[in-house]
Amino acid sequence: MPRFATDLYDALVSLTPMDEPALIRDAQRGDVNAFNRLVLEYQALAYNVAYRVMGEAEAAEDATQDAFISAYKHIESYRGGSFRGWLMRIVTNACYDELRRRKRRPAVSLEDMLTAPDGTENENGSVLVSADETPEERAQRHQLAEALQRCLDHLPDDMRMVAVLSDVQGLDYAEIATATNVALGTVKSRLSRARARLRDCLQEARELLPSVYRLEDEATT
Amino acid sequence: MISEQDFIRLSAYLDNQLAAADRAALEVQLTRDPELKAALRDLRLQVRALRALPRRRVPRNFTLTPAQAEQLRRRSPLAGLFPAFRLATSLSAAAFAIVTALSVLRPAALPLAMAPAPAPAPEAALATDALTTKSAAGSAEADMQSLAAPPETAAGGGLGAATGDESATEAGADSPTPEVFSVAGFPTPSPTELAYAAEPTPDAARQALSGADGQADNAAADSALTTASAPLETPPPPALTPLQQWAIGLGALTAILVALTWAARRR
Repeated sequence: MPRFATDLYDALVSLTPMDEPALIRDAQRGDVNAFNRLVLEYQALAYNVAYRVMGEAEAAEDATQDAFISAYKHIESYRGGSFRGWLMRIVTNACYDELRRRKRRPAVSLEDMLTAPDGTENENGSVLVSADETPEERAQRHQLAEALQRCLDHLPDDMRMVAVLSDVQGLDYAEIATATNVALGTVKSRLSRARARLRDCLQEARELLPSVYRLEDEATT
Repeated sequence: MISEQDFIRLSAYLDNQLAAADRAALEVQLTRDPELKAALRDLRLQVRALRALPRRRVPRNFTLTPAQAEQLRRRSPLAGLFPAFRLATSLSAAAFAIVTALSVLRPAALPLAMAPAPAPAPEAALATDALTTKSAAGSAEADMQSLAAPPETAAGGGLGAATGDESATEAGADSPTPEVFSVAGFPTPSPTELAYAAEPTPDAARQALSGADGQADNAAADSALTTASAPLETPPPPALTPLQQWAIGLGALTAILVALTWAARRR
């Protein structure tokens, strides 16, 4: 089947309402179509977590693929609770594996060297950029995104994972505890330390924060 | 300057993770402390900036094809044994640790061959002289008695007796030579057997000494035993206690199980 046809089919399938528990049960019985519905639902989250943790598109793609393969192999071990948390745990493990592999064989692709860390120069990059932005605002946002990714990259792996899951992806503490296999108290302290380090790292980009977000902040407080 | 503890509270407050009482207390503190309030505002901005990071579009779909799914479902038989291997490895490792600890903590379980040899007494040289003198004066009957004894006994007693023997005297040796045993009609022992046989037993030594000289006293015999065995001390072959043998066996078993468990897990 041609690629565009499968993409169209996937797009149509993803638009239909999803009964997650039923899909999980079917996937546990070996139904690959049910599993693929779950993949379509969560692949953007999984890929973005992997991308923010790895800081590289290629590595994020590898980690996401490994995570879904592992999820299919181990879906029988899912015993209820937050499926998103369970899946993020697999993504987290895949990211750690990929990080270990990359540390042994460090490699930076040409694409990653030529594009900004957040990929906004890339056609696959930002999909949430406002059309109302002026070129200056866009440049400023771009600069801030670069600074944030650079600071995330400098965090230790465990802190980066928690910061990405919480502050970038918005998972709650319980889901993060499931995803990272640590206690809630550990999530709390790890996140606090990660935020403190990010604050210190962002000192140089601090002046960008108010100009981009102050108005929104003042409007909400 | 915001303390680390305050920062932890601010972080939890931002995520609505503080208990009601703590939250109320922090809110009171925020109204009084402008620095704390500024830190909260900065933290909120930082989290908002992170949340607003652009989402990456997935480069492709990560769905599985039916062929991939079929291949993934065909699990290796080794993979099915992973729980059993894991349990066996744990048990084997625990047994190995216990047996190793026991073999280390119980030196008394060492065999006699591995026990440290007693240090020679200072008067050993004197006793040797006395023994040599007495032995040299021994009668031929005593020689025959000691040589006719079984090797274990004769070796101990024969030390003194052999000094009176012609072959030993001609060679000027203090220890029995293979020829001495050949004379008695026994097969020639190997050097190792000699070393073992050279270890005297008190009874045999006393018997030999009393055979050589009926008036030999026990004290002289004991001293002579110490001295007589000294020149023949050769390191005995390393012998292992049953506990040590078990420890080695369990260690090898654990290593094999670890390898199998790892292989099963990889599949």
